[in-house]
Amino acid sequence: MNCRQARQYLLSPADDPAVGTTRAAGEAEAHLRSCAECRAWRAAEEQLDRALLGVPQEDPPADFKANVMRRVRALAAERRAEVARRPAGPPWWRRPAFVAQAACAAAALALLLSPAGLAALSDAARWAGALDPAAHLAVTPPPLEGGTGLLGAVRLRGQDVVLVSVMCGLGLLGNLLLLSRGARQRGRRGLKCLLPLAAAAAILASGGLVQAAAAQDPAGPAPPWRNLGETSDTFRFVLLIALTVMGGCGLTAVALCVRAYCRRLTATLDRVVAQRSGVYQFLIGLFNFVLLFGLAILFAQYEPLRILTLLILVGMGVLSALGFAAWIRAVGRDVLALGGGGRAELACALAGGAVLVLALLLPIVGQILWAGLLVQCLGTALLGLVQRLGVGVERDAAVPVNDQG
Amino acid sequence: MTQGDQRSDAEVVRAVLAGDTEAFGLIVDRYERRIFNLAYRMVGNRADAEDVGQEIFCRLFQNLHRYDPARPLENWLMRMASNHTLNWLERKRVATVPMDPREGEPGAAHDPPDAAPSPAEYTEGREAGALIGAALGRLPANQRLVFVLMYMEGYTAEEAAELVGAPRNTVKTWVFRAREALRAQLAHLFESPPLGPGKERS
Repeated sequence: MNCRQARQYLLSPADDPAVGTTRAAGEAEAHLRSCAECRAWRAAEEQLDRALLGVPQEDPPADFKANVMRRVRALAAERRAEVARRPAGPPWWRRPAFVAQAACAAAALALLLSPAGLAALSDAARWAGALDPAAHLAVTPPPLEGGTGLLGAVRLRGQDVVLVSVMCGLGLLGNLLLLSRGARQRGRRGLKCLLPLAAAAAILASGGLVQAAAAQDPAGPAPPWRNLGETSDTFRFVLLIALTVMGGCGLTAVALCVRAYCRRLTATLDRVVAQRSGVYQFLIGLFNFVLLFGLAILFAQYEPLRILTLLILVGMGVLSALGFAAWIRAVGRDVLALGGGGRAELACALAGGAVLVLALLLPIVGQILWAGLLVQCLGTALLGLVQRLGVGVERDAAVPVNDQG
Repeated sequence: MTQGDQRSDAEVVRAVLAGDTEAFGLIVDRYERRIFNLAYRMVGNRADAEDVGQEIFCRLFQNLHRYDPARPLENWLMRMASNHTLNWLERKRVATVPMDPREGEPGAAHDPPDAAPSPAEYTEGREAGALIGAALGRLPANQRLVFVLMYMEGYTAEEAAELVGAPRNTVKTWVFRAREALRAQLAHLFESPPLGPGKERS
């Protein structure tokens, strides 16, 4: 047992009965005997405990209850007035929001099971197959060109990199706009949000370098490391150093930005959940989808990064599955608890339906618009996760809904 | 816990939901001390603690229909209270100019807990309480919360983890860090012999 383990144990000894308390206790005591520093630490801890025991409980103010009850009575009166005002609408299953969303859910399911949806799924499976280490070692790359699915036909060439970067940039900018508006705070923490841009720039720059290296091979954008053997030693050395440095910078930036981004996104989503604005939810889902999808395409170009593509695809798949569950649950709760959605919600549902129908009618567009399904799913999935995990403003919304309500 | 009225929490909640708003007073009676103390330890002064405490009860009232009577009301309420105080601190931090880049630094750190006039025999405890309160105010909010839950409200690490909705090991790490930080901040208190009468601290 080292100092840290011993201290952790001594702080909450009875907490882990399964770990073999007596043995752990013996080890901790042995450590204490041998470590003067930890003995001093324990003495200080005991002093802290004694000091804590001496801290008196505060008495609430004498009028605390009276004030609470005054506010509670006002709330109760408000609610009664609201109930009296609310006209009796049609039953929940005939309300427009429910009908529209149910239709969308049905369309989304149909789309998922359609040839385009299945192709996209099988494409993802093919990507998974391409990640087989044995396939990596083979001289010929796995046949990814000519696939029918979402990414099969996508092989970036020079100018496409620009397109995809524009796509990523748009996604990021959209996110930034929403986040800065939603979080209502600027200044230093706002600047942190620019980190995603920096990260994307790093990714794109390294992508550009790789692309430039690949351009040396007239056959096309084959991954450059396969060409390394044919180039001069100096070039190879410089390229490797450059890639390593950029990779390091990129990874750091990505790690930082993911942290800042997640934190900020969570805060914004909390507010969105609080506002229950359908348009807002939709936009966040859309921008995030564009961002993720762009990154997925970008990563797909270079074999070592393909694992990231796969991770993104799998993540999106999981999120969309969760999204369906969260969506249905949210629809049920909205309709049952709030008495039908507002106009924005209805418009969103109709727009989502239109996108899905379009995707069904045009198989080629459909492969890209398969996205349409994921957009709403992703948005709702994130919201669902936020509610599920219970982070932030509306955390107590995660508390199970009670039937008697 | 019940005072006078022997109805269980779930029965009281049912009565409130059925329209007996006054029955809510029983719930306030039962938990006001807990809630107020939690809020006080979290926000660091009585005025804000009163506001936060009232808001928590109002929130409880508004969300009462979501309560699952099969579970203890206390846990649900404490969870709500934990979330609410964290959110309150976050809102306050956002509202005050964020010139300080340190994460999770509560504004409350700058308002030392106000010590109400108290009998002489409580002075020592009050003083240590004020020092500990000020030191608590400098902890990140989540560490402060689990620390308060575990060492001032008497929950185990397991229960505290449940209340704040974080994994148990995370909670243990927070508490570990909180204790380290508190000991470091209160080092001057401990180096000298334990607080004796007449010991002056500004």
